[in-house]
Amino acid sequence: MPDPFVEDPSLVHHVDVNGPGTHVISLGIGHYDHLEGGGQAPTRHHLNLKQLTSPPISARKVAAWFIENFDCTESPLASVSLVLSERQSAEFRNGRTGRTFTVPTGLTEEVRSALRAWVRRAEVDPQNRIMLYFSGHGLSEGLQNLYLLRDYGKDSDDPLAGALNYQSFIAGLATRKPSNQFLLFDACRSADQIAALNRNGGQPIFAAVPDGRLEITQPMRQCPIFSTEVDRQALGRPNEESLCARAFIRVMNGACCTKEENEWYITTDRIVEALTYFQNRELRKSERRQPADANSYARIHLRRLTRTPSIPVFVRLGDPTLASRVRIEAVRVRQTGSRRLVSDPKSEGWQAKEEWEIELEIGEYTFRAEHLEPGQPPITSDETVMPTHTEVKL
Amino acid sequence: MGHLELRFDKQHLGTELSLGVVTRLRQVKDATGKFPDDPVDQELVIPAGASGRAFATVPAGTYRIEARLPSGEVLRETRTVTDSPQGVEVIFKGSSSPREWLSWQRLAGNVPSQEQYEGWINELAEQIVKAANARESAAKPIQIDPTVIRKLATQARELHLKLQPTIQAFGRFFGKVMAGSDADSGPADTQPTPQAAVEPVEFELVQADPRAAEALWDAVSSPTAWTEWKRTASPYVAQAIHRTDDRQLTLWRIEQSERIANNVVGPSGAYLPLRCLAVMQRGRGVDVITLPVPWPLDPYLPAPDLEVLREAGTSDSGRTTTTVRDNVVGGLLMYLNNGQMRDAATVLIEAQRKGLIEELMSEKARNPLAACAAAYVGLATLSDNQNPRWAPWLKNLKDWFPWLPDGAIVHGAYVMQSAKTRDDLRDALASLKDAYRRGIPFYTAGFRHLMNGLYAFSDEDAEAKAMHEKVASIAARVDPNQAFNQITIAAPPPSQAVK
Repeated sequence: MPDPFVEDPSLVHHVDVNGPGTHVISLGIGHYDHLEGGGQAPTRHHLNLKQLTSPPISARKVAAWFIENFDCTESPLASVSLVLSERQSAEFRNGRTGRTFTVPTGLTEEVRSALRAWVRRAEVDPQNRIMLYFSGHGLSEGLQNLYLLRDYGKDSDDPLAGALNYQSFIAGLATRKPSNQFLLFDACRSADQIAALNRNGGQPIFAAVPDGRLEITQPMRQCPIFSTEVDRQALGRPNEESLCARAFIRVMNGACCTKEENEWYITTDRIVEALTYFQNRELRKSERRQPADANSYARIHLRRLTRTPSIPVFVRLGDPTLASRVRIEAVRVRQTGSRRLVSDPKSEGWQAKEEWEIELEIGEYTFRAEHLEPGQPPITSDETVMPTHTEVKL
Repeated sequence: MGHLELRFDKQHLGTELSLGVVTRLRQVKDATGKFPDDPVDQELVIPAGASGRAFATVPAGTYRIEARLPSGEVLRETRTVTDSPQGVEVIFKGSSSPREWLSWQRLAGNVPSQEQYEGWINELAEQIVKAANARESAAKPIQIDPTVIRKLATQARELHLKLQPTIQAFGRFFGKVMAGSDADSGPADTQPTPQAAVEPVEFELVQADPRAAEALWDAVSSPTAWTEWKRTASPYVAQAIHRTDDRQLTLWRIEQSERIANNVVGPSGAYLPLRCLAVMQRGRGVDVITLPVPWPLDPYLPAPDLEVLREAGTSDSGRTTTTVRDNVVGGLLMYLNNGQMRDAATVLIEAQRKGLIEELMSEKARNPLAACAAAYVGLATLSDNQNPRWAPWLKNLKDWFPWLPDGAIVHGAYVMQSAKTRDDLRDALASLKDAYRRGIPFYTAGFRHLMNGLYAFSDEDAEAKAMHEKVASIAARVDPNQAFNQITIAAPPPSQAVK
């Protein structure tokens, strides 16, 4: 049997699953050879775009999260592939197997090969679920979106040869066998004339095959999500994962869960509002906003949970100056001994924060801030922790 | 079991919206005060307006109730329900509209609340006046504090509005003012005086012959083609238009006062309604909107007004939004307009449950345009219900309304998605080609389905390929955040303008 890792250099995790599986591809394009600082002949079609540090970090985090945490029993993890365009290519270490990989660097041909291999692996079973995360530069004009790859601008006569054409890409993908397709594009949707004037530019990757799904009884569920609205930017801090990547991991951990026939699932039901909330939460102190967006929608199970879901809980003090003088914990109501420490100034490495984020199982809690100095009554608040998040003010 | 009575209170709406606001009920405590093992988590759509109510029967307990407005705003209430026949009332109250005549637009999320609006628009107007005054005095250096512009932009974003283009336009305007250049003219000795290539009028309705609607694809393909087409086009008459202004906002309310005269006889002898295009000035170019009329088709049924809201006057930026004040699908259109497909799907499910979709699609009600809106949402959520009860009606939408591109699109897209045989694919392709020949679809969703559907066949069918190329060539000028197609035809830059 051929070694899948040899066949596809972007593959960093592979499991033979017996039945429908989940195939993930994570692409982080931060380094652009032909933009300023890219090290190669600069393109005159630079559009004032800069080098990015966040996308490869985001793509690594997303890939690592799936490998280490994705425990779906309905459609278990079958493969994870990774493409990273970063200033200095670094290896990726699979946290589950310990194996290290040198992955493709985001050139158009490499991305094409990785995407085709990803779908080829998933085409063995129409019930398979494919999931894509893309982070990098994006352009938008009208209904069209273009996602720039590492060699964008290499061909000065056709700079968009180094880009992905969103409309053709999803139209082609919709004619392929995997019936559950979740696609998250974490990129700016800035308008630019180059997108308007070259509306058919960019790579479709997959030719549309109208009869590609004739034998398949499952309906096509394709759900593309944008991390930001048209004319807005997708944001990330330098050398950190993007806001969207962090939000997506929260979503997958439990924020977007619903209960169906006694089972908990992460679904696409409220994913746009959850991504929007988590992204904007991090921007509260700035003037910017990053609402997620979707042009079309399909309800897809993204994960069946093996336990009660964990929901992000944000705890803050009404009087922030108390932070160093109180110990905060969350006590599960009617479950003796079930408590979670939120903040303890006496613990090693403790740092004052305006807000603490923890994850708690759905249910009823009493949040208590106990004064370290005796004699003062605790500050308490009873809250029901529910999806997509819970905010607690003490 | 207990009962909840819910409504969204919105005064001055004019039209009571029976399926207005998507609302989620989540149980946080049972009757004993414990978090339940299997809490109620359900969605329903509540009426918006001055009177209607929705009813929900739920187990006794405490509920968190969230109303998700089309604007994206979320209102929350908590109520305890007991096992009593007496219903617990939940009335959500939205923030007030800047003007009574903007009430519908406020609910739709197209304008901010009164307080936000006043603050933002007054400051913006002041800055424009300041900049203009400063510009007239050549001796006076023009300085606008960049922090003011930043502040304005921040305020606009905070309004949950899609006003960025307006802000960007003013930002560009301020930037050019500061740089001492003019947005619209180059140095006189090096460039010809630009001419308005598309001869814009601020707002007008023009008619297109449904028998020759395919020509619309070419007409909107370039400023020159539009000028040429427009030269021979007649005004769309027999619609009463009312204009209302408030500084940077203009609302055009279109009354469908006459629906019998606007027809032509088709090849089969049947009457076909004329297509109506709203043409609105955008800088030196225009926005062309495929206005959804007649709504409904039956001239003897009451017809809702249409509203076209324009921000930032006739500047080259700002948003234009078209809405239909329909009491049944108005809410669905609002969610569709804001890209909230999940909530639009909830409205559709509720409408289906009440039998309204079949009613819309049936011959009796004769509102094929409203039926198409429902069908697009249905197609987006097809995965949950692959054989919906309304599916057979899609073919009727195609066959009975030969002037309606969206009827052929929804049928083609559905057949394509559910194709089992090559004949199905042939049927889908024929429908999509038919749709193309019927001219530009009314709905943006239709534009997308048509483009992607034709693309799927473009490798094996030369005609589909040519059609796809034409559709794709216009896609970049379609506003993706609108329910109804709105195509911008920008004037060529000054250097390209022909004297």
